[in-house]
Amino acid sequence: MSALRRVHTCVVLVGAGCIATACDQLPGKPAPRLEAPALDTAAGFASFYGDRCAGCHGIDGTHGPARPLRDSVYLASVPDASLLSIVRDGIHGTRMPGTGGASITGVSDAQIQKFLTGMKRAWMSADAIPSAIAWQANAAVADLATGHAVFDARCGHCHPRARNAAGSSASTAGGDVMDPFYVRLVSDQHLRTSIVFGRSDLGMPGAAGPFVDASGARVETALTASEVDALVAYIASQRTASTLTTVSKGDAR
Amino acid sequence: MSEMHSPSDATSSNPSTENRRGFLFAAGSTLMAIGGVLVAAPIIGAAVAPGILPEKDQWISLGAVTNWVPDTTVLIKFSNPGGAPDDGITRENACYVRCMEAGKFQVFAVNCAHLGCPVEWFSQSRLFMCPCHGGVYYEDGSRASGPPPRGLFEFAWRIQDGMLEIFSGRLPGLQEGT
Amino acid sequence: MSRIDLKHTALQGVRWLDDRTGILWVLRHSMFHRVPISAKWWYVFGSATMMFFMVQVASGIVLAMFYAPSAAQAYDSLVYINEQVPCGWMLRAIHGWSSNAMCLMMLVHLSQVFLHGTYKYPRELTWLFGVGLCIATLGLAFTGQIMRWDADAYWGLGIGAAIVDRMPIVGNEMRAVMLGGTQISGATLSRFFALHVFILPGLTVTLIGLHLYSVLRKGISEMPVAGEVVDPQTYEKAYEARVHKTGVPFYPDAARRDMVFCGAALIVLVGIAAWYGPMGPGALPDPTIIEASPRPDGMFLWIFAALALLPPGSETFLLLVGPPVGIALLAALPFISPRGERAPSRRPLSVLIFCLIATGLGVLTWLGMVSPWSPVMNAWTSTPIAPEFVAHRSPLELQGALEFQFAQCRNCHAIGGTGGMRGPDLTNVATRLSWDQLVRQIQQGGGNMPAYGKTLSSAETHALAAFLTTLDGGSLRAAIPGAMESQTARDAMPTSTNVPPSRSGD
Repeated sequence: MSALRRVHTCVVLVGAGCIATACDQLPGKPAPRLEAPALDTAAGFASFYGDRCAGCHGIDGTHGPARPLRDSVYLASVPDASLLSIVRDGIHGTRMPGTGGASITGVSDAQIQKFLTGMKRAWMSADAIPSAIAWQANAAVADLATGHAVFDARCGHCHPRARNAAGSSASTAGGDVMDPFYVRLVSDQHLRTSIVFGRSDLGMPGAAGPFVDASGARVETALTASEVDALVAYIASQRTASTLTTVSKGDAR
Repeated sequence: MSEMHSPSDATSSNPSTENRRGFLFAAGSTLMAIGGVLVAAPIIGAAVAPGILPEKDQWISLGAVTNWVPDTTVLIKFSNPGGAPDDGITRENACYVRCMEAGKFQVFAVNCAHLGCPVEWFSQSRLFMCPCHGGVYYEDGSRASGPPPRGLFEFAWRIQDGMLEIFSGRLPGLQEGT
Repeated sequence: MSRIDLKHTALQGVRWLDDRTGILWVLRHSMFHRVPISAKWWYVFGSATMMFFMVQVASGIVLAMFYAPSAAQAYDSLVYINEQVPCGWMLRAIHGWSSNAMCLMMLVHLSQVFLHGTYKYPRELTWLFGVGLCIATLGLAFTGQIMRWDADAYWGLGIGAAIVDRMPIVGNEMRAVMLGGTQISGATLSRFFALHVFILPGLTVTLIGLHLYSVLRKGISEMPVAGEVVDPQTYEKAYEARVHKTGVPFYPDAARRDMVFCGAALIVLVGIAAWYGPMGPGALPDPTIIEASPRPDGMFLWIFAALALLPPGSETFLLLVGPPVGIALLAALPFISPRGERAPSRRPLSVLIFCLIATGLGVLTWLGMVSPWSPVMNAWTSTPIAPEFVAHRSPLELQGALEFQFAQCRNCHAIGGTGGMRGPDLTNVATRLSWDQLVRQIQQGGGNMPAYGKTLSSAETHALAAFLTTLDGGSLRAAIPGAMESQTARDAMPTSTNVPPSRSGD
């Protein structure tokens, strides 16, 4: 009798002990509330980028409608302070919104700096060298005629005017960059960044080339700084050169 | 049952006893009624008092008028007036301040006019959108689309000593008619 | 001490107890009362509902030992229960899942009683107490969600308050009574805590007692048989005669099935709780965090869906009149149809009504889960435009795609199946709308879309329209005259390679 009772007691105690200790091993136990991973870690960067940037800059930093950020040369060329201000304040008058600032939902400068560090760790190769041509324009006065000539020689083959594009090879067409609406929508800096760094994800070369000339031949010569200035000025000149019949309020902003 | 009634049966013929019984019953029920009301008044009163007492709206300062840039709408935090210590994080509240030009404002509640969900401001499209049932409002608070029966709720505002103040304290609702 | 003595003493003890309490009489009329022999597996759901309620009481009492019913501390105390209290998360998981199980069993029980016509004469009061229990149970589920005191609880209260506020004349006052003040605050949590742990459980226990008492008094109904009509003149005599002749004692005959089902249900409950864990708490209940997307618990998703789909003009009326009328109809059911056939095969109208309501609730719940009417608030920054919609686009069209994201079009419109679902999917919009129609829709809105005319410049509208005209679903042809006129070159060259070529051949 007493032996049986001892067995019973043992079974009950062992059973209760098992359940109590097993509690923490079961799959339903909620994971402890950890701080979100820091933005300079791979996980933290990917989550912040995926939530706030991927919509325009592309799921993996490429193939978005906006400038690809998985671009070693671009990341090596633009100084941290500029990247920080772009992410924090956005670029006024363009479609780049800011995520920082003093508002309730604003991300702090320190967090943005960590995010940029994370981005460079993920997408900038260690041996990346900055572009030979400054990412920002200097104050030099550019020559429109030179710009026109360079455009015809290096860009026109892939960027023909839409109105007379019927005969062009569609598969290589990058589309009309002289479109009056397009040049109204983008800043000089956008034009310059596109020319200097290109869009490798869409097959557009940067200032280093190679280009295709009007006859379809390959041109290896890189653009010079003054040629880039001239190109930007030439394309930007289409803003005022073209007459828009449907302009209404708001174009200036 | 019969033995319970037997004592009264034995004396029921006595009219004075009859009267005393009637009086005791009347007195008892009256006393019970008075006592019941006296006890119930504070119990029920405390439970429903929040619905009867006057509302505690106050002028709340949101900060210096110069904080706002014309042609912007920003989310501003403020604390509910008359909050209790155990309100914790729910003592905080928020509103949207739209600055049209210097000194000219519109202050919106964050609560959707449909069912009170928090609307989010998008400065890019100049719209407020509600995550619950898809109500959308223009930047002036007027209804753009979706189920809301009216535009966003607005708080009265004034400028006092260079500070922007709003008159608030209660959850906005369709009954307010603001 | 001999065996005989022991037995004798025990018997004496029972006699003493029965003399002082009358327990044997009670047991004879409850545990051992005779039930119809046909009462088999269909009858286990009521018992299961009550068992889950007892689980709720037991787990709820222990939870109350750890939970701090104060707006300042409730959230932290839940995290503490989840992370620090030994088996605390399991306790919360059991309480949460058992709540779902109780609601589910209650609905099955209700359906069975309705379909079998069990509510008819003489069991009207049993049904009436059951309807009360149904309301009390749903009340417990709703107030339980508030106890979680996270963002869903906070904004759920906001929705409740907004509904109450719509009552004519007294709406404002009723809302203040509900919230315990003019705002959702600590007083609100205290009020709902009192409801959840005192008022509603007390009401439920009382109603369970009355429900069980009326079950015992008027007996468990037999399985319906087509052709056996309930007639108040003769029903009770015939029923008692049948039960007397063929009935079996509830314990152990009928109780065996209850025990098997309830035991299995308990094990499944613990399994689900152990596997899926507790519910929440979700995001902090911070009224200043606007990036919230409040959703109610599963039991109330159908209401959430109905609120999105009701016509705005009659919404207030339906919100305020619908529930009382629905409850009144449910309560009046045994008085509307107290007699007649009980078998579902002879009650096509009842079966039809049941199917309609069940389907309606099911569809609404599903819609509530998907909630296609809700804009996806962060789609514009987090949902990329797939590479096939970027490749082969001109600079202007790329600017249009950028504008599409930037102006939050994506929050309501999907491209390639991703994005909001409030507006139409635009993957092949170019085949449906001409350039002029696109521009007009963007500028003037309409059909539940806001007008963008004041927000977008003509160049931005132009770019947006240019991008939209490239969305031809890969290589579909224009579905209306005038569509894709500006995209003749694109018609010759598919914009996407992942569309089967057969579609362009028709």
